[in-house]
Amino acid sequence: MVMSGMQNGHIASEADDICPVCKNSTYLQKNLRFKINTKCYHRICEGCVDRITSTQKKCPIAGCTFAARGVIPRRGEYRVQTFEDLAIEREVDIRKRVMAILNRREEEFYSKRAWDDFLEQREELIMNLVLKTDVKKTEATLSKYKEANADSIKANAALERNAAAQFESRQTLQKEQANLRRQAAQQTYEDDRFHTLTAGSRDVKAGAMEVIHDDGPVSDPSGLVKGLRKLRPPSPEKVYDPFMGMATTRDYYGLQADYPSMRLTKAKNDTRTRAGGFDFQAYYDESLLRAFAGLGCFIDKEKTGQGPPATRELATVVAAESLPGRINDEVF
Amino acid sequence: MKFYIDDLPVLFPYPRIYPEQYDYMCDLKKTLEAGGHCVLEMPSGTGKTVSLLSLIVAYQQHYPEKRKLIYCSRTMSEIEKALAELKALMKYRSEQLGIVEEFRGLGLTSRKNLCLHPSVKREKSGAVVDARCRSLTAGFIKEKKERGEDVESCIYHDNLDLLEPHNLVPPGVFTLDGLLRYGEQHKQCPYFSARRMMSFCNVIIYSYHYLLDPKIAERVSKELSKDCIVVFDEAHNIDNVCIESLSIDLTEDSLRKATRGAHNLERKIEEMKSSDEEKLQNEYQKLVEGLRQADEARAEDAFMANPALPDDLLKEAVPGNIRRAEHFVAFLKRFIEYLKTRMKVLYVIQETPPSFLAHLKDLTFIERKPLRFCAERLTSLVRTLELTNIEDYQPLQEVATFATLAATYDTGFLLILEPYESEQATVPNPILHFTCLDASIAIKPVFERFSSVIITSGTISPLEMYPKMLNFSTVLQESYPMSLERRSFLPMIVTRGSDQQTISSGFQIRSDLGVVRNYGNLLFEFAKITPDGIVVFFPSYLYMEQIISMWQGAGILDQIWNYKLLLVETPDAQETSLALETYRTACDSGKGAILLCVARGKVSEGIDFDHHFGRTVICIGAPFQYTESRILKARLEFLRETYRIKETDFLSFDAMRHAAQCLGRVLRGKDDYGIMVLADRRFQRKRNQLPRWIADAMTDAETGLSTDMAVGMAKKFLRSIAQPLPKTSREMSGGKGKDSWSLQDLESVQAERRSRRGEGGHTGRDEDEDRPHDMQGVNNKNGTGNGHVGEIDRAMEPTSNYMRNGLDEFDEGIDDDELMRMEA
Ligand code: SF4
Ligand SMILES: [Zn+2]
Ligand SMILES: [Zn+2]
Repeated sequence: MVMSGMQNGHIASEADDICPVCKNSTYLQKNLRFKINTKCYHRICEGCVDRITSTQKKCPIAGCTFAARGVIPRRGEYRVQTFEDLAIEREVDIRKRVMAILNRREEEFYSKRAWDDFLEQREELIMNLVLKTDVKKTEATLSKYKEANADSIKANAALERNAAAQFESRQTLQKEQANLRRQAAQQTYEDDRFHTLTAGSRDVKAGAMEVIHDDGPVSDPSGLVKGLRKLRPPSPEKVYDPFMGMATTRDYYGLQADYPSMRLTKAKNDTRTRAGGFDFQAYYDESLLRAFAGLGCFIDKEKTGQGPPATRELATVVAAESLPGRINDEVF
Repeated sequence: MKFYIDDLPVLFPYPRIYPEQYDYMCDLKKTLEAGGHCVLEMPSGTGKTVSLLSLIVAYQQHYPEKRKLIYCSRTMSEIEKALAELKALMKYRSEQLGIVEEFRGLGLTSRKNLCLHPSVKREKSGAVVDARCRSLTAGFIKEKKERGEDVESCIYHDNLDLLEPHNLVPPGVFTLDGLLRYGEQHKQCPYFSARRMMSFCNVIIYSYHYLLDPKIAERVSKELSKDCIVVFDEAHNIDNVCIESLSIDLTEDSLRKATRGAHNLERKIEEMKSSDEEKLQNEYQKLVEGLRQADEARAEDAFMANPALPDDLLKEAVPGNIRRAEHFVAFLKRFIEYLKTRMKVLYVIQETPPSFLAHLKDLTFIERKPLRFCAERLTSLVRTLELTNIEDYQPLQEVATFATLAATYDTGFLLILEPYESEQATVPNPILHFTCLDASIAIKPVFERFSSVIITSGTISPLEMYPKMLNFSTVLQESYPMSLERRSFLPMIVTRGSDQQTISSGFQIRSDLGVVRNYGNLLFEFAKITPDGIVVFFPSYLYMEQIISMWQGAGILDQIWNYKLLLVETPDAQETSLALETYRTACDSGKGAILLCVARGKVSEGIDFDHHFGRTVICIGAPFQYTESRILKARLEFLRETYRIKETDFLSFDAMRHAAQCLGRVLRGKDDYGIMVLADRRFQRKRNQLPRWIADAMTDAETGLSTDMAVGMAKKFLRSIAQPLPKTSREMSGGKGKDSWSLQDLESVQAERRSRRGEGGHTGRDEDEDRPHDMQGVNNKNGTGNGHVGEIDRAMEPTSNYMRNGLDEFDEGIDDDELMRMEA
């Protein structure tokens, strides 16, 4: 069993790109493109394809069995090749045809063994066609199967399409999620940087317009000018807050005038304490604040980024979506 | 000396012990008893290996379980060193105990280092040695020989079969060198002797790869039992080793060779069909029945092993469409052809394995299932065909491994196709990277299989980064300070030149002439004052070249030449070793020299500059990774999303661990001394990410310096170190020394700690922090819940530095009784 006439399914290189018909080559004509015939897998340049199919000529390659039989190739039979090795190109085409017929699914089989046997059988048939052994018998088997199992073939094809579509939409969804996560991370990173860079230089920025982070370029109301950013006038400078946004209201408790406390009794009754200016109210307030201070804090939020860590699956998609580009090395 | 840690008698082969060694041993023992993993950072040059071995051997010999030790190191020379230490230790033990213990310790390294076959061992590449050896030792060779056929085999391997399988070499410890000599004398293969004896050894010392690389681990480390103690030494780079072991790069050239391999296979199958059909039929039958003798799949002559397949898959039968040899070869050819078309694309592609598989299926009808079995099916086929010139099939094997990995792992991996080598390149030279993003994948089986895994190094700060990255939990994390009789090294951070200009290798200012001149000036000043050798580390080759040529232009090199010889590391290994040799000669001659090298190069990792070979080390610029690399970028994103490690945190961690490695190069022992200069503004804020023993030795006054200040300090330091060490009280009166203890010292320390433990049985947290570090080890050992909780508490602290710098304000004042007492 040697790969039959297909051995001209060359190992390609630059030297290969000469059209066997018009002898044009990529060396002289940079944008020369080739197509193959899906019947005999002969490869000629696009110009020759046009010429031959418009004037109804046979495949021009010497020794072509199809040409010998007087078969006229049609325009649609020529296409761009996918694989460098034309033998593989042909094999895949055959495979596609056979797989469309013998499209049984694993769950239809009673046992793993039966499924494996089916797989081997299918492979056997494909190889028959590829190697041109027992072609007639194989084709007969296939068409017989096709007739007898029309319903199952249709149903399985639909299932297959469904699965592919589902995979597709899942991928898109994941990509969207990934992009959102990436943007969020980028935002946090830029905010961090922004804060470190602009700390203390607030007044320089005051008065400048602020960019609203949103959905990309827009055009002006008349539609003439495109690619605009949405800007908004600067918000008035906030009053300086020495506590940096720390809450001053006491949400979790109300302060009472006095609390009974064994420990404090002695001190309360001791005029010396009062004389020294000790304020029990302030002490109560402080103690309660400390006791409740943690209630409004959520550690998860304070950690990097927002929300829980991504699943490994999503994280992989995020990594895949990562754009190359310089990461700032000024991280110190 | 002999001492006890609790009830465990430890024989330590030196008359004196460093305090940190003792603490290290105590913590090791605690980890072994608790049954869990730990991360320990022990200053370089303080006898980490010997402490580790003495304790673990003592532990092995004392307890009936005799847990095996697997000690992993990085390089052959480190393995050899560890074996020599072990040998000395065992000798000492037998002298002390008066009996020779029943004990075996062996090291394993690649065939390339252990081969004795006269022609095979002369091959230059390790892969070729492996392949040629396999051709000589495959199972069928023996069968053929028995049938009387004339085949070439290796006599060193054949001789092994004449020996008792469990006693190929006599008991005791063999260094690699010793094993080679023994093999030569007895005409037996050292490599296979060691490998077959693995399961009879008490201590195994080998390279990381034997455990981490799933392709090798499967074969070599399979029989090791669960209670083995696994140690990864010099483990600061372990995450990268993990990642590399699961990443594969394919080029057009390797694909072309793989095609050729597939064609050869096809021809061989035809040949066998006409001559020996039966063999193929046998194989086929076996595959049909799903019979896959486990032992056969893992036979030591295996052509290749499966990369980390889940166990359930290993029990499954090979899919029907690749059962027949010719179908499988067609399958391979189709897959390779597909990869070739992918390579034709002229823009960068990044995709996840599932999306790759989907596209593959669309185009070639190749399903995930058979792809997963690719590696295994190929191994089986190669064995059936009795191929001898295995090295020719290497590229095909790579493709098969690639296929199996891509079909096995959905997450944590990425395919990146880069059509051009660099931004500027115009001729495409595509590389398809199958890159692992998650270091924890490769090491996961290790953590799952073994109950105690110890990760240790001289520079492994910040400790909490490793459990995070590798996704495991520790029972203990500790970093030890270095106890010194006097100050013997001077770490400094220089942030400005003498002209007060900020210096940094940051991207914006790295080619600024002023910065470059300041760096040059810094080097010049240190060249003037440093006796003997100076080692300088740059962040990259590119930067080094750039800066050297600028120095040349500015005449700085001419100035430096007046004081020292200048030598440069290059990416070429041979050139570098020549430069190193010259450097050493120059240092020996007394005038000294300067070695310019790269922070991620060979020199920074494996070569020590002890004593006069390195008196000053200067890090010019923070050694950041090449930040435009797509692979790095993808890994950063993955780390951020799954482990919540910020990009910036990881990059600075990575830069600092390399800087610490560089600094550690010059200080290889307590009798050594040296100056360590970190010259970049950016080091200032990352000071707390240095290993504890370096950070502790750096006072505030030694940071944020300008060049002239740094030079002044260095001068003072060198003057003080030039004074002879005053006869200390230790030597005069036998009192206990600061940097090392004799047996009496140790015992008194132990007694002291015991009594402290007695009185302070219920210590509060604050007190715990105040107490000197070494007290803690003992205190926690009374086995009460108190001690252990404290330890785990510590382990979960986000940054240990935080703790070091004292508690945060809020906690400090919370004791209101105190407040009242004061006020009242
Ligand atoms: S069996 Fe040993 S000595 Fe023989 S070729 Fe292999 S490694 Fe070399
Ligand atoms: Zn033409
Ligand atoms: Zn034709």
